[in-house]
Amino acid sequence: MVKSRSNRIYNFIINSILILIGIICFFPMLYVVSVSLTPYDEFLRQGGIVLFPRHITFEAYQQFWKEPYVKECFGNTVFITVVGTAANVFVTVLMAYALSRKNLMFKKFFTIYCLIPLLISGGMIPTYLIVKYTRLLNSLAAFIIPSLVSPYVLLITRAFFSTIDAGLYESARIDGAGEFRILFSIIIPVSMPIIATIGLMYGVAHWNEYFKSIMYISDSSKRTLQVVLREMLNRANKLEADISVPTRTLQMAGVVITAVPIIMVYPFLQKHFTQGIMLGAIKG
Amino acid sequence: MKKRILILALCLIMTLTSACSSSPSDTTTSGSPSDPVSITIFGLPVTVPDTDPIIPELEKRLGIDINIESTGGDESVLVARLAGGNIPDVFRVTTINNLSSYYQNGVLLDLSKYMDKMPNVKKMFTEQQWARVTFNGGIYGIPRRPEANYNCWYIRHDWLEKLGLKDPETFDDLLNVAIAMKDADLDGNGKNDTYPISGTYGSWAKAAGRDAFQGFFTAYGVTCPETMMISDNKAVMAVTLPESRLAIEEIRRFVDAGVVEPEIISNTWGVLREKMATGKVGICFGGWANFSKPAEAKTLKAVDPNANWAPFKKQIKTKYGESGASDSASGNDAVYAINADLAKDPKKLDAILNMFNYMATEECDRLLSFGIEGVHYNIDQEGKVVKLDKMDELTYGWGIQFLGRDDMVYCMTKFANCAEYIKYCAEDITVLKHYGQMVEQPEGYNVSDIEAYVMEQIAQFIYGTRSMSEWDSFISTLYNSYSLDRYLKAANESLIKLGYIK
Repeated sequence: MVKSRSNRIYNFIINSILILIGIICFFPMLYVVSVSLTPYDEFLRQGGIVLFPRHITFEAYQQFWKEPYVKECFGNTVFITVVGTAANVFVTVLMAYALSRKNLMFKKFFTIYCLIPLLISGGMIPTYLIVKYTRLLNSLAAFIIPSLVSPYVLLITRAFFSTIDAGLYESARIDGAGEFRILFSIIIPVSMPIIATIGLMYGVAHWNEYFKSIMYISDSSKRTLQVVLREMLNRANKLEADISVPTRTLQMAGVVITAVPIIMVYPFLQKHFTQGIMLGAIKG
Repeated sequence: MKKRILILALCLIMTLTSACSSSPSDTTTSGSPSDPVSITIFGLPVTVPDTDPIIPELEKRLGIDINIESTGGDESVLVARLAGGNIPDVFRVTTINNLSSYYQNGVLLDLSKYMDKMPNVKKMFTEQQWARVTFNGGIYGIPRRPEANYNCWYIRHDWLEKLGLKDPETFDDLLNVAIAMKDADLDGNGKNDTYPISGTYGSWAKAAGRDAFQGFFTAYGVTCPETMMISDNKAVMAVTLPESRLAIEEIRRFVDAGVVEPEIISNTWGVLREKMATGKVGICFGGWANFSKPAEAKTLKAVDPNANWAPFKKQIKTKYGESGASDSASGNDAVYAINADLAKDPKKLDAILNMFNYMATEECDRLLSFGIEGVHYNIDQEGKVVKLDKMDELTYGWGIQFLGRDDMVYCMTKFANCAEYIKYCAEDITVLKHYGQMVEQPEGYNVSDIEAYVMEQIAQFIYGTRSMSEWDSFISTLYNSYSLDRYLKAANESLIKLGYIK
């Protein structure tokens, strides 16, 4: 296909703008990683701007790794992200599938019932009481069970399932498949975009968990990584003779350790993620 | 297929119920008679590391189990716990206003009935300190010993020498020094990017006594604008005094001369330290621990090995006073309170009272402040604590000094290489006291609202985004929209009760 000159100019401008935006987005990440790998003295000597470290050191990472309970908290975060996300996706898919079926009894009632928490949340203290009376306080299950299903994610998933051709259900039904067989053998394999999308949504939320950790967990070794990061960053603002204000390199090492694992998941799911959001948006 | 799905679902449920769950500790019963009593101490501002030897040693000495729960100082978690009826045995309350509110909700144990079980604690604090935690004749908190002043104005003395100038003694001198520092490009980077005067601002900086402008306000005889001080034997909010306005006009003179850093409002101490180290700043209000501790001093010399940060040799004088620090009269705002329900559990309550009583002995004070004898410190022939290298590992001790500490002994022992500055800040710097932490908050009144409003507006007046011609209207707003009168009435009542106002 022959492109006209104006088309080429147009493409050049668009590509240049996109590359520029890409650089702008990439710059802070590069800065964070570079600072975390730079000796603090060198960071200061360079006036606080380091894009490519001249000498690389992992001292800041070693120091962050010595923060109290950081290893346990890292393990907890990985655990609640993996198990929590699996549980979230499993339950959400089950609910969304049921709500997407035309022959569900009281479908409207159940849909509205699921919508209510989207509009009105329980509030901090009532939620705390639920966690307390279900004996989930100070347990990792407090991160997972009270938020097994997000109404927003449920709606997206339900909308996606509703777009699937009814013929698929009918042909499966004619072949003698039950609801579970239809869901797991037919619907889920064609719904990978939405599953990747909601998995990422739940996964990011679990990985970034801070509030539940300080609210429901009393044992320092059962908290999440974000709490360690926050406590370390907060030290900069406390007046205590004993406290050493964390250096920027230590802060950035903390940011890298707490952010990079989840950022690394994005490239693998990005294709599904965009597709999933769009497909979910068609009908709802 | 169905089987696989069922197995998957079962695995998930089992993982959730077995791997995750643990029985939450019951905080109101003592367990079987043979078990050591388990005590939960909640709300510590720092996470005590798992390698900590101090709490296990305390447990051993007292024959109890202590569960420490840290919240990083965030009291909203305590509010949720109290509202949820999951009240910890002992909890840290950060302000007297919060203590008063918990008292009104009936969650605090009246300690006046048990003071004979804590004679050491009773002896440790003055009547005035006890009066601060007393409501309607009952004692509802255990105070903490006050800390000394750590803060004053620091300046780059090597820059002063380069410029051939002396330590400033008046604001005119200070302005000349600041202008000379700005114009001389002392960091030698060829850019006019030095704003000599800097610091930190905001509620956390105020709480730490590190407000950038304290030197100005105290020189005019007033504490920070949003604080409650005593003037002419009456409680007043400092901002309403004419001297506060004079101090702000003085600061404006410096801002107009371009020598005050525009980013003070957003500075954290970490960011500010970088500016100090890189020669962007030459005069700064802060604590000796931030300038003079060996690790901090090394950082400040990282770029320029000749950098010499030291306090002003003389403080700035005006006819209203001398520049110094503005600090809470409580000296240590946080207190510890005990769960009222423990009145029904005498075994646990006795263990807690005994624990606090032991904490008020010299033996335990040394344990919580300095560590274990022979490991972290030794005692010399004169009975003084001598630091051993391992003491430097105890950097979280301030979080477990439940009754505070003998601050001068603590700092002089632990940070002997900063002795000169510790003494200077504690003994030579004039400290103006403010009394907000002594005031029982009027019902339905939120002091932090008016404080936040004052801080925000003062920043605007200082940086010229609000004109000084609107000053009177600003003061009127405090009375009309923020009911300052109600707060002042409560403050006067509280301070008369405590004996600060005769």
